[in-house]
Amino acid sequence: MFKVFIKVMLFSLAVTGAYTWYSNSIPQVTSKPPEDIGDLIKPETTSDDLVKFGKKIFYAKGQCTLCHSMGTKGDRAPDLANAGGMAAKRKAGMSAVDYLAQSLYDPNTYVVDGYTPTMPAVYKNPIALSDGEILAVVAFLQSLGGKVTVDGKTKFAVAETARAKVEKPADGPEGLMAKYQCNTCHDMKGTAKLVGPPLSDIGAKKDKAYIKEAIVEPAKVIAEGYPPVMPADYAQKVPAKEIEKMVDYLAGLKGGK
Amino acid sequence: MHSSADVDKHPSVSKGILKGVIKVSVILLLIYAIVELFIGRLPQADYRAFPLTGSRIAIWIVAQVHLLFGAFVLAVPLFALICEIIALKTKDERYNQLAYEFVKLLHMAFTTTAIFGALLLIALIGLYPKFFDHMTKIFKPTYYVYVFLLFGEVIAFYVYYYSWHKLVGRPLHIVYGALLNFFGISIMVAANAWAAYMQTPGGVDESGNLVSLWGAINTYTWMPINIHRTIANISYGGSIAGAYAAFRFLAAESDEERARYDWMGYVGSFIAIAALLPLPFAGYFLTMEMYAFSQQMGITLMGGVFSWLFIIQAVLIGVLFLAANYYLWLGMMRIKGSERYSKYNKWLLVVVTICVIVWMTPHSIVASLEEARKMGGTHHPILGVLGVMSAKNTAVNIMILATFLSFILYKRANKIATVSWAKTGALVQGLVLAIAVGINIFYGIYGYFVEAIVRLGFSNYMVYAVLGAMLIVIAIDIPMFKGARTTGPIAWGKMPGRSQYALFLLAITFTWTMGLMGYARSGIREYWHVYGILRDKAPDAFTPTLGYAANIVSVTTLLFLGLVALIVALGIRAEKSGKAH
Repeated sequence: MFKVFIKVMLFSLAVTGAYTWYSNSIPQVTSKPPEDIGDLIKPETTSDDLVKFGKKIFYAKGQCTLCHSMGTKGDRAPDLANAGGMAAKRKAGMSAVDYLAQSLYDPNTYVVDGYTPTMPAVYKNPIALSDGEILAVVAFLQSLGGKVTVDGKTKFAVAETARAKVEKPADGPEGLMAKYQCNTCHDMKGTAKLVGPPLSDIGAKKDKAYIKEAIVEPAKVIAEGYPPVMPADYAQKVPAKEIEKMVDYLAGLKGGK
Repeated sequence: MHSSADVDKHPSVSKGILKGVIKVSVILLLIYAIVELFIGRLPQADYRAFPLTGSRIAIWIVAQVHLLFGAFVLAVPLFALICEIIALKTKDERYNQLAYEFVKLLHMAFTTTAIFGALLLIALIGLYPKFFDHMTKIFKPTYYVYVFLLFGEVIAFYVYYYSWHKLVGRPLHIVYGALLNFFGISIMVAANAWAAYMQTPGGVDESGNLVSLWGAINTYTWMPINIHRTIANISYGGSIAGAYAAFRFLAAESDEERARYDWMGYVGSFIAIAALLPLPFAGYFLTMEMYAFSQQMGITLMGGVFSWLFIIQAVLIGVLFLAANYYLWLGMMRIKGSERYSKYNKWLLVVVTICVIVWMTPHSIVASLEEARKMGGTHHPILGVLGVMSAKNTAVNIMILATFLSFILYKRANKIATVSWAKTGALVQGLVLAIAVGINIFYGIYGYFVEAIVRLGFSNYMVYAVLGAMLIVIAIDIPMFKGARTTGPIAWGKMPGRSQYALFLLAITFTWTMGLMGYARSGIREYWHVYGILRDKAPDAFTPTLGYAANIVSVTTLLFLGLVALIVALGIRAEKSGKAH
């Protein structure tokens, strides 16, 4: 029995050793906690220094390259190789710097065609960029095909408005309705006919199954008199738990009855 | 049956319970005393250093060994209960003997689990006080539930264990077994809530203040982890049982003993493989929920610093599948009539090997600047195409189907169906498997031409095709082989020694994979104790290299295997002294 025991132990050592050797032979990367650059950015920081800091944040703490590409079409998020040049043309009447700041603080207000609203607000955890660091990233993005117009003294009004807007409880159903911007097309409190029908009394008219179908397969249940413009990809991009929460919430909207 | 010495040395159920309750109480009191008398008197700090290894490695090793033993003591009762139910249904007493063989080992395994659990708790309170305070602030009520469940499990175990000889084979004993499993799984579910909260927190505001305890428990990954770990534990229990049987087989002194342990190894591997097949789907579910919680986390996991970890995982799972198939193919050697099917083994080997190779193909490869220039980038022009999800999903699913087919062929090796529709049935089974493979290849190729979000949706169809095919084939197989003619009995014990090493390979690889994937799940939090809520500001908050992680995983695996070997050796010694007595 002892002989068998020794053989088995040697076999265990050999197998474990093989896995250890293999794991040590592939690329080895240590990921360090990001360096906080925010304290280095002061009112007297020049545009050039901001660009340098911004580049560092873009590739490290900001984790931007997890989704954004540089010079090739991005699968998950737009290519930013010409971000400074494109930003000015994205939204009529909006300057490049405002567009870029908006995209970082409140990223899902304007989503580039062909992409889903998945970008996180970068001032929040887990990325948690400070206002100074976001300013630096804006400077870096402007430098990509555009003119850098910001310096250490620049402040963004959107920093406050975005915080006020996004800091709604995302866990609750109302927070979810806001997160997925249902109120952009539906009147949630009154009876106004917007792009889609009002939903303030949807629970009194329709059951849960209908409401769920309207979210996950909107083409099947188009309300009479409204265009078929409800996005069809909620089933893919909204987690099932959140859909259930929204369905329960909507089923409870009885128009004050 | 069991020897009278076995029965005599057991105390009564009530004495056994008392012994167990005292043991757990002493461990809990010791923890309390150490925390109050030593740690409580240390100066306030967010982190404290541990000599030689540092705090992180100390916690890592203790937590991993505790977790492996936790899996063991959860897996064995699950395994024993399944065996007992089969024994009751088939009236085959061998299953009860098999169950008892492992239940005997639980005694010491529970104690070892508890000791490592206590060490983990002391280490967390002592070395990471800020983190432990945060967890206590959120989860304090669940700690009481945990202690209640712990006593429940101990009592249920002693009732189950000490009533074995009196009640085995009766439904009441199965109820005791179910109760033991209820407490065991509940303990796992409670601990999973803490781990899932650390990874995908919920129920707290952005500053980490508790908003809803249920929200903190029922996070995105809680249920997927519960499902994944339960299935994995069944598989793990089977693999450990298989390894134990393999050891006893190789050390057997008589043909009778060899036959017994050969059969035991087969049952263990059967349960391990049966549970292994749906495991990747539970893994998909877990990963999907991670993505649902945070795309960023999902992307870091699959495409960021952790992407190479999945190449290692592919190698490990590939080894698991190859070892499982190899064992089944060798097993056919002891079955008269299996020649009809064993000719397909080489083709199944080719399919499984190709699938493993595709799965372990990295998207980008390590290349010098010159090599990269020659290739036109770090993505190899051919291999780069295989290293993406479309190809990998297809490969994994076909590998699962191939292993399933091995399984089906093994099961029918000494049987000839006698029902009138046997040919049609076999044809439909073949067709269903071919359609499932076709669906996977179709969506695998189509996936290259669509957006990522659409491609993700395809993986659902591919999974449904595989699961559906397996269910249909089994549904046809059961009635088709009812009352089948046999070509001869299985010659248990007539297995080459190398087949037993396939069983060891399964158990070692399972253990190592658990360690690696545990690291992936914890490591994905990067520099956060609680992702996005409580930042890790300890000196070793960095995410180490895969090589570094692999070294620790190997240490914990060997430590665990060594301790299990010790428990088994003591069990065998007790068995021998019982026989001598």
